[in-house]
Amino acid sequence: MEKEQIYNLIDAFFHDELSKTEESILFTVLSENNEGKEYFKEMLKFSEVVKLTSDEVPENLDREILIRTVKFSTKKKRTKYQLSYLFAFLIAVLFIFASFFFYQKLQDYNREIKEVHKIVDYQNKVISLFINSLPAARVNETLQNEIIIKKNL
Amino acid sequence: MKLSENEKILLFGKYYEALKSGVYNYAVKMLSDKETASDVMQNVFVKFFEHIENIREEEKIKVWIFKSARNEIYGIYRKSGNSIFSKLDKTAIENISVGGFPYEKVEAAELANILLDEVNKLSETSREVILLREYAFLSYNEIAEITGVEINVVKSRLHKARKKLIDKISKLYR
Repeated sequence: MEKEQIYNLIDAFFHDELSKTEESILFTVLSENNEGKEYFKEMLKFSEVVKLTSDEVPENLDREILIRTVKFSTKKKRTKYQLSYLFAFLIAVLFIFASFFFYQKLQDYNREIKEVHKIVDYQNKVISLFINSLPAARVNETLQNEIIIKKNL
Repeated sequence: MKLSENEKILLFGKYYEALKSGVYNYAVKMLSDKETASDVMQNVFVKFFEHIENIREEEKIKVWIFKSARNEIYGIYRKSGNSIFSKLDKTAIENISVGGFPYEKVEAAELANILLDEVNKLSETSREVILLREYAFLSYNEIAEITGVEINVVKSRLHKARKKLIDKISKLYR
């Protein structure tokens, strides 16, 4: 195995990126490669020192972040509820306006029907007057165009 | 991702626990100021909670969080005009707890001190790569995606930077 590959494997080992099989390959290679072994030791020391210089997250920061996210979550929930209430209110207002509008329309139609009814009444009366003013019909006793039907023998 | 409120909280908790140390160390060592780093961390995780549903794939969450942290950090640099090479915070060294003997503690503190000094001397790009790999435990692919460079460049920067640091440390403990 090439030096580069060994170094990459060692790097991956210290970052928990190797499978069990790859780990056993690495250790087999290292048992035969002194340069690799040396680099492994150096990496071990290096990662130990890195751990020493690693800062821990302060507890109050943990708490602060948790509080802020919970606040955001409840605020969002509240806004969600407020939005649904607002939506329901708007729908109710819309229905009120719609019923008012249709009531007005109904009243208008009522008024129009009454007026039309009046006109029809008046026109009825006029027609009756016309009919009454016509001369009386005369009925003749004899037929003017007599048709004689004869039996064809 | 379409998530219920409970699923959101569970997912947030899972990633917060897994990444909090990495993000905090990245921010502290990039900014050299714990208070500003704490603000960055708060903003990043609250933003993550707010946008958790907008992240399309769960696999992208890690990169999303670190990218967000990186944007916050570089935003602070732009605002304050501070150089990235400011002095690193060394309070971690004061709290070192190793070994049973005082000399072990002294040696560990000395090594830690040297490491932080050397990290401080690294170029901006190498320093960032070292922090993302060694403190945040990110893969080469993830680092490449976060920093916006090719994976080979990440590998080469990391290799060079780590070699420098290892050489310095090795000199002391040999």
